[in-house]
Amino acid sequence: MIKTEMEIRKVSEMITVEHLKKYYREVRAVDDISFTVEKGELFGFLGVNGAGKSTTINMLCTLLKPTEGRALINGMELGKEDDEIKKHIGIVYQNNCLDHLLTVQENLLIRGGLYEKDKENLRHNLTRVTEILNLTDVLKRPFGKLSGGQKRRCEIARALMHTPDILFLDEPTTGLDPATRKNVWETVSKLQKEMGMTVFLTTHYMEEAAAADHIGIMDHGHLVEYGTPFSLKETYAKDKLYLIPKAEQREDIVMELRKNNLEYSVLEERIFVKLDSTLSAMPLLTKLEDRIQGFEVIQGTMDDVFLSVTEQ
Amino acid sequence: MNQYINLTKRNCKVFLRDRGAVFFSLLAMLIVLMLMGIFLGNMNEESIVNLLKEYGGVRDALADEENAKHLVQYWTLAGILVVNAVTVTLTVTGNMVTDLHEGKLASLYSAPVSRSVIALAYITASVFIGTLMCVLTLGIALFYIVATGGQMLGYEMLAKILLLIVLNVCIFAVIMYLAALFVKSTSAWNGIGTVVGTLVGFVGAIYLPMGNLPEGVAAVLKYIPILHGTALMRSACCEAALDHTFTNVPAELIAEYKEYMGIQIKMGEELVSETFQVLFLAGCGIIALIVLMAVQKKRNISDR
Repeated sequence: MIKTEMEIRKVSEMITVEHLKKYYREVRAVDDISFTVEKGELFGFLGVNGAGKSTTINMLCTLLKPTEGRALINGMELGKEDDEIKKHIGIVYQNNCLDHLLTVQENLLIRGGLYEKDKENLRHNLTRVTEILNLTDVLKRPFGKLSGGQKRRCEIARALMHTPDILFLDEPTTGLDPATRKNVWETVSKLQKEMGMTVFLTTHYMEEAAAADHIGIMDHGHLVEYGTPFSLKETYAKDKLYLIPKAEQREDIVMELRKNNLEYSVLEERIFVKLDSTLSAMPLLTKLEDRIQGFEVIQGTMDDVFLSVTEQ
Repeated sequence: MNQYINLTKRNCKVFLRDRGAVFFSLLAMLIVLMLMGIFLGNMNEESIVNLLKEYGGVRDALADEENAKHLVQYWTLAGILVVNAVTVTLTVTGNMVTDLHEGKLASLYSAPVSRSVIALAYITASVFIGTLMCVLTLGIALFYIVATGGQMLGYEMLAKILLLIVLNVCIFAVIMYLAALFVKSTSAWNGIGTVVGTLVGFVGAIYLPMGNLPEGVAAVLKYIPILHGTALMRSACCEAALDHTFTNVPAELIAEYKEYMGIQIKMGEELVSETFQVLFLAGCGIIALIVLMAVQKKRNISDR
């Protein structure tokens, strides 16, 4: 068999997606997307609601059959080796899917039992995940009685019962309070960093996405941007400079900005200037040194990236 | 195999832990009990006593009343066992609808388990719990009947009743699962539950004896499996009590009574045999199973 370029390249790639499409009659939920996720990285998959993120995840998890295109998960071809793929992935859904009336332990043993046949290993896996996710205290309690954060941790534990190579997290922190969110988030980073697990994450919280190794942004079924958080910020998030003029100097400064063709706006006591890069503030500041009381440079955030990419 | 047992256990546990669901799955049975206890029981007993008075020659009226009471009790028990087979399997199958409704099914589908195993585990759970509930009901009812002076059933009959319970439960578990494949929401399924729970008593000729139903209705019911299920169950439950009650009366009278009470069913001019009834029931179950497999297969493909 002749190996395609895709198969040769796959060694360091955990997920390779090529021209993946999913059409429902008129709706093009996912329209020709291609990207790769490296082994052991944290991949942030962003997009507004309805952009096609969940559809993509469901396809990669073998739940939906793509209309067209192909994908390799850890070297296995999607659609041909689905059963093998299922054994190597763990998925945390947006909604909780454990049973409310069963205890955490029962839930985890039942779900883990779908992957692991050996009772001994199953017990061992249970101990392992409860330690990682700090669930020892709640093991005997019914899942339905737990707090939102505990439930999420149980869901992650469920996805980890069979030590998957890839962990898919579909908006794992939506609807949680900030403290719990941080807690879940720390758990996820720990899994990725300490256990070398590949994490594929969708989220609405940009500060979470900023910690990813690579980011893909979906909009209307298309993958509109792909890159590291840094490179995306460089491209899309302009730095902001705030100048605080000395008394009577304001007009003067505005004249200077106009001369330099800079975009600006005058606020009450400050002048706001858009910058191409943080460094371009330097010459401007040197020039205006005598006329200002102070200044502030604010770096662009992932929010800016997200907004400017999806608003186009 | 492990996965199958695992999932079946899960489905059973999820149902049994929900006390409300367990209670309401038996609601139709409670309705039958109340109807019989308060309104219809006496009527049925009196009709037996009157028959005996009219055709039985010189009789011990007290003994007749006592025998009639137990005969009606056994007759009711048979009806309840079938009602339970329907409503319990329906409620347990509701688990699947809930799982679908709450998005839990997706998490099961993403595990390396074949979809037929998942479906089979749902069906097995309802068979298992349906049988359990029927056997519990049977036990309690026998205890009550015997405690109030009725005759215990022989071992052979008990074994036959047990087999009939399993047969009924299996068939209705398959039919319910098939129905559930077309339902997308929990509230819709609960609606179906209410309708079925109300109708089952009439369709099985349990609230009212066959003879009291309008002819057209009675004719239609004969083509529905539940009536044959109850008829089979009734002949097993009532045989001994019938022999005991109808002493010294013409055989035609017994035959007529059996038909009136839906213990034996006439289709056309002929009484249908038990073998035919068992085959009819099994046939319905097998047809439902085949349709189910076809629908599930199509569903699996279009879902993906």
